[in-house]
Amino acid sequence: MSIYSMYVISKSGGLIYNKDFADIAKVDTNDALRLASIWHSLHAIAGQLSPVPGCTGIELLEAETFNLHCFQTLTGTKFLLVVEPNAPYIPAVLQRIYELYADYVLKNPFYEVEQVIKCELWDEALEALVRRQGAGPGGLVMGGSGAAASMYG
Amino acid sequence: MVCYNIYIFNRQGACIYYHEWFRPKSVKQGAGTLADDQKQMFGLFWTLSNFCATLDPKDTSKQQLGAPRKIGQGCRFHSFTTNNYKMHFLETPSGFKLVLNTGRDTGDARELLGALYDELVVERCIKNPAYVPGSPITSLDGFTPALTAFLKQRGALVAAQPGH
Repeated sequence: MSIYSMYVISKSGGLIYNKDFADIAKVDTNDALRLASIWHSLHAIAGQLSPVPGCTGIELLEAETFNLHCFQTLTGTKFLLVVEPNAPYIPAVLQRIYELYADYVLKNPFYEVEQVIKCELWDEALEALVRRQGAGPGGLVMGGSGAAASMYG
Repeated sequence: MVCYNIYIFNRQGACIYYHEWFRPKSVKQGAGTLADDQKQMFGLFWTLSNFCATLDPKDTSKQQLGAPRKIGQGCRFHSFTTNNYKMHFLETPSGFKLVLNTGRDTGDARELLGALYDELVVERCIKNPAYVPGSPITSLDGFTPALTAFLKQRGALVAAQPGH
């Protein structure tokens, strides 16, 4: 399974969603909350320390046993994906996750922005996406999830 | 491949060497002063190292975030990429930390940093009887030209920089 876990950080730096997809050493809730806030600050400091102007923050962190991909939306929400070092197509997966977020979280009338995400359809769609991604790269390139794809005809 | 700047920190966390080849965004717009910039850089990679050790999926005996960590213990990161630069990091077992900021399209520079440490820091500083351990490397003549020549020879330093 190439995707290990996923975190969503709100624009103020708080953790609003996290999920582990593999049975590897998990991070407990308190540590996950701290890690999210720490990431939010490090993302900003990397931009400040940049030798070149126009830096928008860390997009990829490479470590020995995992890679961390970060996608920051225009509104400041960050999607983090912890994956194994050679996982393919991760920027495309992050784009797709952002689409699912827009469809199942933001369009949910009971969801308040910046609060913890508790939407069933979002959980299901995310699970399906990661399972398809784990099955093979063809699954992602061919089509999106049923509901979203049917909206576009 | 373009190199922007390099930092070398010793075991105690003091920056003993800093050199920049090309830095369009001045230090004043970033951290303020060079000393602050170096401290922030140290804080950044120190926190990232702790962050990676906690997030490591393969380590079942890892400790809580914030627990003291020895050099070399736990999963370490070796680089991060942003939208316009890439930072490479190497921590040696003796506690020396090398940070190199390069252009975004650089590949894996772990071997380059290792060779840089072997051929420059060890040969010219550690083995130098006139070098006082812990003091800034800038006091040694010939280190900076040797560093620039080393990187040029490896194809890591582009000769004409403006216009990127």
